[in-house]
Amino acid sequence: MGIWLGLTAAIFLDTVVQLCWKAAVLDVPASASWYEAILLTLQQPLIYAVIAMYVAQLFNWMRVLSRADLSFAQPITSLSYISVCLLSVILLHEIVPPGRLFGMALILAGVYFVSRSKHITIAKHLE
Amino acid sequence: MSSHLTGIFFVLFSVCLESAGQLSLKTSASRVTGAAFKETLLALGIALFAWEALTWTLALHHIDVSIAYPMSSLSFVVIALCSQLLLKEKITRERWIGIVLIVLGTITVGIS
Repeated sequence: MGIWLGLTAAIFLDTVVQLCWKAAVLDVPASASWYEAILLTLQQPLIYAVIAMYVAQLFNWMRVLSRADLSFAQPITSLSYISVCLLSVILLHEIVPPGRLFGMALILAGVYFVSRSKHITIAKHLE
Repeated sequence: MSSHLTGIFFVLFSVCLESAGQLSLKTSASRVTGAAFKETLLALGIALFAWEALTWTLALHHIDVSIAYPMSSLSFVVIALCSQLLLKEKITRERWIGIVLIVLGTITVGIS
């Protein structure tokens, strides 16, 4: 179904954006001022990939929204919390506290329930 | 206002901005929206999201991400409620259960 392709793309883009963003700001010291932080971030080539992906994300999301309820599509995107966490562990060597695993299980369960509902509300007179 | 309260205010405000932004984009994408409004609503949605990014960044200056992040999961509920009331979307009990579980999961992830 086209809708799931769009949702997968949304989660994929969201994940990559967040990971690139994390990686791009790794080199910005916490003590930096706003101005310095922005300047340093703009010097990371990765940030331009982030911007390009935001644009792609916008196009994709609009396509998803034209075919699905907002209250269906938006909760599904919470899956990116899980993918970002998993990839942060693999690529950025972060450690996962046990509580976080439980939280992710809850998110998965939630997404499962949402996915079981019909993805679009058809106006009564069209049913 | 203490820094903590300021941070909480900014988080709640960013939740409102995100909800408004999503509603704007959804209305723009919807087939029933007239062509004249589609572009305006798209531009409005983008502007709201840009404002939200700034507000969120400000929020993180005042409170820890381990508090801000779970609080921001409120947006799942706000967006669902607005979708039901304003966009007339049908949200079954199953979908609500799912949304509540996602909120609980997000809060748990945030505080651990």
